[in-house]
Amino acid sequence: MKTYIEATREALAEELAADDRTVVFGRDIGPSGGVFRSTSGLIDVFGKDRIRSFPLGDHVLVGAAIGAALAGLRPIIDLISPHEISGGLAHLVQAASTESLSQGTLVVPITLRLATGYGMGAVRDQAGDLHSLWTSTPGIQVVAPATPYVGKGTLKSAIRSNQLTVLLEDRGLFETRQEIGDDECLLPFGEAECLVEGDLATVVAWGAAVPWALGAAKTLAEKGQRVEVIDLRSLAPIDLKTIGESCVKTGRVFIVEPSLPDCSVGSELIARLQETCFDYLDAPIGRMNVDRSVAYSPTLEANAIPSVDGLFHSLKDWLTE
Amino acid sequence: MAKSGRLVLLADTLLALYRNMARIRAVEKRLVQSFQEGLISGDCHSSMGQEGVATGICQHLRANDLLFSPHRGHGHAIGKGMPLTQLFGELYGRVTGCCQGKGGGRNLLSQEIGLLGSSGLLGATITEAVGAGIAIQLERSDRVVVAFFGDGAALHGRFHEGINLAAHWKLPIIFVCENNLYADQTKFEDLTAQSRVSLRGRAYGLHGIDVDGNDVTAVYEEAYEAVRIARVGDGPSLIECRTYRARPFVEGLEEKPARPLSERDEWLGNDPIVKFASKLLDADHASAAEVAAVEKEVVQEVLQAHRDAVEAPFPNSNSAETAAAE
Repeated sequence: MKTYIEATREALAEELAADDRTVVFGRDIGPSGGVFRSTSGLIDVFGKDRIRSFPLGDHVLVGAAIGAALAGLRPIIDLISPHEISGGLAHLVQAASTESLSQGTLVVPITLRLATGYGMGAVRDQAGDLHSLWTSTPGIQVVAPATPYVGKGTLKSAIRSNQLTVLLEDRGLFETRQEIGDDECLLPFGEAECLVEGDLATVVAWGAAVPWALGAAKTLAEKGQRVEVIDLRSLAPIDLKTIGESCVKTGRVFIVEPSLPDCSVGSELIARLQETCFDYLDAPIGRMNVDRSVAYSPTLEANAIPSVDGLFHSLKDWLTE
Repeated sequence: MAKSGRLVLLADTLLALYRNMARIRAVEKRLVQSFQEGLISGDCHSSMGQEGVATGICQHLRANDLLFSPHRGHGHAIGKGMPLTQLFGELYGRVTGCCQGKGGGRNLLSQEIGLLGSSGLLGATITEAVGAGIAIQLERSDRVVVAFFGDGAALHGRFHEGINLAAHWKLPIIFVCENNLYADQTKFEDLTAQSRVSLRGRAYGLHGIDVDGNDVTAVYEEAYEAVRIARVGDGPSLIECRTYRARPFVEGLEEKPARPLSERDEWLGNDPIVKFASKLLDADHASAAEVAAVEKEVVQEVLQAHRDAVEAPFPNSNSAETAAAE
């Protein structure tokens, strides 16, 4: 059994060993192994030139990763919070169009790991999702892994991909455990995965929302209501085919997001489903999000962040509407 | 500024420097006209007046050296060897442009000539050069990286974060600040208590050098040393080149306040090309006929590139690319 952090650290070690153009740039990622221990021990094997600790400044961290990528390296940026990227955001948005401008002669094969998510008393400067910042930028692949296995496989594929890839990794999942085996574990981009089959409705989730969806679906199944659960995984591009086919089968779609509702990935998914599957929908699309009121106090957090129980009750009501 | 062991410049080198400056000037003159004629749909940032910097630096670069250039980058691209048809094609938004008309004059990219980054994002060239320097250091080659930027960027966080690490890691970079005295329309010295950018370099442990950017041989000599130091692994340099743009911040802009006439007269009287031509003639390094021949040659080149671009087709939207993004 491996935790998310252990599985993704294994991915880093494998890819660093396989290709010496691979480097990790981040804060405190050397002997301390990073805030979340995502790079523990790597500096002993690969040295400080490849496991390169940067000062606390995201302008140069991001800019140097872009320059290094343009000059042939495959940098992984390790950041502890989505806000740490703010000084580099415009630079990444610009870099994402390099492949198109240069007709593929210049690529920016950066993997950006952002520890996102809500809970643990972290707000404002530490927590949040900012998911749609990335999904609204052309030229970027965005993935929100939900399990150690998917985290490992996605990270490995991201490092090998020539496209700028953002991994939105939820801190709430870092200690979850899973048997991941010894296979090469390379996962494709842009593919959703059906985790539970059902016929009553389709529940689409990603990242930290996947355990909520699985938990709620299990409780519903115990009461005889079988809903399909799909892990969207890839937020850009969106696998509309898998979601659409499930929608045609069940006639109802409910979206549960580990993020805020406004202009979100869920908003986009709803727009696309009504464009393509309107005739197959038997009811309005339902949704559940992190509430805008999310704040520090444990009670404010608990009220704002979805849970298995909360989702179960919402789904139960929605199914009878 | 000139140190002991002054370089001896051969007549061929001198004439090559002259030709490159004259070529950039001819391009910029034509582009000013093209902007007025509506051939350029986006911004046109002319480097007219600053030709000595791009020329003196780029003359030392090999084909596989790397270059990062900011928004005022026509001269840098030319200095690194971009064919003029690609430059004109890009500014005119045609398929023959270096980015097939997708980038415009502020986004000139070319893997072929090692121009890896180009944009108006302030100080981006500096931090990108740090990353490219890391890549070169890891490959253990003697390639070097040049990052051009303006005085405005020297006030941005990217400058401070970038040169700090470049010095710390002894990266093979030549940082070139083209200090044309104005950050956009605001005088640089009205924005800072320390207007000598080279001193900031020294504060971070870089070789910090001042040079008259309108004296191409002086720039050439300083760049020779900085490039040599970078190639042998002795770390980065920061060369501050004082210069002056002959045109507004961007074509079509009425600058407010206008730059003082006395300042303009003084700098434009110190034109790098006029000055260098008379130096060549005075020292008998070139004849008047040779200089005139160069002038004629570059004007022909530019005219041809302009005509080719005007005749080239505009791109069609790439629907395959749009579909792939969905």
